[in-house]
Amino acid sequence: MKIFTYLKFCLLITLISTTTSCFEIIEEVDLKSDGSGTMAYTLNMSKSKAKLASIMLLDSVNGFKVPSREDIQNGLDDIVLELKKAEGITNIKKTADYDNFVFSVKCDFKKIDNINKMTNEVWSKQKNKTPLSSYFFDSSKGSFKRQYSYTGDVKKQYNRLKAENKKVFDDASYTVIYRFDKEITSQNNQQAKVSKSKKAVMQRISAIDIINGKGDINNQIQLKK
Amino acid sequence: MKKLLCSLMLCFSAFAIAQDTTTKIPNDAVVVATIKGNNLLQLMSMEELNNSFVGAEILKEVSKKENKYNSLEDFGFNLGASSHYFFQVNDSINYNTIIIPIKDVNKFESFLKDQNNKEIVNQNGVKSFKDQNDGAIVWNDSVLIMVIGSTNDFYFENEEVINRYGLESEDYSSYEEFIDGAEEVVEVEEYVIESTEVYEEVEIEEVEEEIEETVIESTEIYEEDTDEDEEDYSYYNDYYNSNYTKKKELAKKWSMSKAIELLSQPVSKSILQNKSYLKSLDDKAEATLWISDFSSIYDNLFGSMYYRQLGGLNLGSMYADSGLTAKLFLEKDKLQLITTYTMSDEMAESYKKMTSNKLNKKFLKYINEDRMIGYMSYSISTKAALDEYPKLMKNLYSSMPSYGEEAGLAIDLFSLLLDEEAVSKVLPGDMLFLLSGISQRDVTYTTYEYNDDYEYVEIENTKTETVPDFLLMISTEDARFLNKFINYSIKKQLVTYENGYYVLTIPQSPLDVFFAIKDGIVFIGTSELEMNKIIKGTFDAKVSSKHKKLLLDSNYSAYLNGKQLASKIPMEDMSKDMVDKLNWFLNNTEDGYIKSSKIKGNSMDAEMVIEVPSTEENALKYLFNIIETFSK
Repeated sequence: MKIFTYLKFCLLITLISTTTSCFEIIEEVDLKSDGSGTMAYTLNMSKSKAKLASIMLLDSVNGFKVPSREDIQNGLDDIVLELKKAEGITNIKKTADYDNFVFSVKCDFKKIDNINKMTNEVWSKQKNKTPLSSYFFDSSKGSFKRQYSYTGDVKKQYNRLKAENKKVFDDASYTVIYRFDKEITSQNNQQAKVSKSKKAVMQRISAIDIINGKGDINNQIQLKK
Repeated sequence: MKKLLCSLMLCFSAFAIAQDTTTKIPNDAVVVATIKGNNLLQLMSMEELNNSFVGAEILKEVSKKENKYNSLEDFGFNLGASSHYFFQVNDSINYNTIIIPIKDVNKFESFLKDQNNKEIVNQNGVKSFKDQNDGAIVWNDSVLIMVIGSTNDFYFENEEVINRYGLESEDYSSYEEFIDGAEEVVEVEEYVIESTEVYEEVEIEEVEEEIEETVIESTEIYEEDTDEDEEDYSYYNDYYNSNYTKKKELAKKWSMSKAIELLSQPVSKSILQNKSYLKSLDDKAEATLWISDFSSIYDNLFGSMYYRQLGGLNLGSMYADSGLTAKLFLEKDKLQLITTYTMSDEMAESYKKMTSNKLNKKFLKYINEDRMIGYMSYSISTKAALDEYPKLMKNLYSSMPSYGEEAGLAIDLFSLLLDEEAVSKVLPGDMLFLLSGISQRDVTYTTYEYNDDYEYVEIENTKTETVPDFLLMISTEDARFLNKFINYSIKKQLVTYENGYYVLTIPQSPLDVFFAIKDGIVFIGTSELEMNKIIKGTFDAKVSSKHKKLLLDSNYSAYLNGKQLASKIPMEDMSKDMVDKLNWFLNNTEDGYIKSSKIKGNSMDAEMVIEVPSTEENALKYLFNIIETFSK
């Protein structure tokens, strides 16, 4: 049977080296005038599903251990657990589509600062110095702010990757969407667009721009009073 | 007269080889690997070696601000002579040894001082570091010997040995946990000392005495070493009670004695007295590997371990009289590795029967060399394998102390129930796996469409993926069982039937698998077009005599067409760096193949060849260029 294991291996390696890999992340914030709202994170890797399905049949690839379905499930469960512990965060939902490799986590928050606190805690636990971002909303003034600081750590980590691993980020993108229940009067990020309804802002940046610090997701949005 | 001639020949070869360091390899070495510097330097001059990527990297690595090295020769080694690695086994310790000839001992010593500022001691021409690490390193004016010894745990479980070396008697399972980490050891010891305060002094004194005895016993010749080691012992005082440390110390001492012994070893005790080894030598080979007898290695090396963990499998008998030689030839037009595996009469008899089947000639009707990237073929006799395997297994399990008899019965029952003849009719035992090409397939993926409020809906898009095509052919003489199995799969809707072949759709995969049974061959492949041609009998086969020979004359063969592979991998999906490397590969690769011959007498040959492109001078330079291209 050894020979069949070998054949399987050959075939998988060829599949992995020939099929493409890329992913997109969508961050959504739906904010109501009272400061409460919904936050959702979606990781869509379906463009790479042929590759991922092959990779998941191997133990490791390009020097990295391949997470099993169980590992991914545990990872998602950990996120949910962390969210459940956080103050002011409710209605946590996760979805995992292993056929298309689309994973998402969604939750409601009482105020946007609940999200900041939660992410800060997680970040400090992991001793992570990667870019920190925070949201601010002043309901009396109707002003929303997304603050993001680029530290260069991401680039350092990226540069440490081998060329074949770097490739994963070539076509990857990060999309940020903010939706409000009032119309937007102004927003100051030139890379972002306001929707026709004027109640939403969207910005799509390539992962490479985020890594290099070229992609700026700082934004100050003013809503109609 | 013949005997006299043989002795003369032997003397002459011993003399010829005595110029290099082969005389330092002892007669009881069970594995010997040799790299012949002289042959390598004929392929690549010293200057070229220094200027090569690998050479330059090494020089850069060792050069410091004050001391720059411009040539690998500056290290003092004799790179034009042979270097060896060998392995010795015995009941208490196994030695791994490396021998490197020295050309200029002054250069070598200044290189050593430059790299690690350790004091060198000289005892009657035998030089070593004052402070040795785990491995023993000794040298004289012409050769460097490095010995790393590792003790056999089983030996140290013997009551007499435990007493002799002042070890603590303990059961093996707790020992394994004990050696897992030094931190754990310290914790345990602290605990022991705390809980047996009253006896603390007595215990430690006893151990100290025992160790001193050990030192005297095992290093009678080198008394001076003992003083140094006492200092070491005080350093390790905290770990005194651990058997691990004591065994490590013993290994260090024994390795040192071994290294010194080897340095002055007479030719009469060298491996040049071993006919099997002498037979394995080849002047033209750039590197050789010789393994004397697998059974003695298994018995000594794994005997204790297997006895414990596998309940006493008789591996020694399975590998009785089996050895291996491997020769690496770096030539102008190819890199060639030839291995010969020798086995016992009994095993050879079994192997002969098992490998008696030939590859189905009809497979050749479905190969097209112009499209093919590579293949792998395999042919054994299923019937002989099913007949012979239980016999081998029975032999293997027979010496199991507790279940040997039961295992034998179970194997007999297996043979009784199995109809070897019937199984071999379904699958006689030959197959060919063809990497027949690379093609484009449409695959779907999930993406999003946004409305005016930037709310989105999931939509399905399609894109083209490049996937490999393969065709697997397996002989069958009786397809009735397979047909039943296929009919069952159709009923369960796992498989559909169309145009004369079956389709198996694999979820999440861009590949559909098509299969059919025709002319006593089971075809399994990913290309619908090819499957169609096979069924309609319109397959456009093209096979050269080179491949016909490779496929039909070997029990096992593998072939890869480097150019074909590189040309079919889609460049647009690659990063620039990869494209450069791939382009290099595309312009600088030829064919490569592996084949194993039929068993002849008691030995079986396998050959691996990588062809060298005409743009390269020889295989060694080609290897250096590959390393350079892919390291940058």
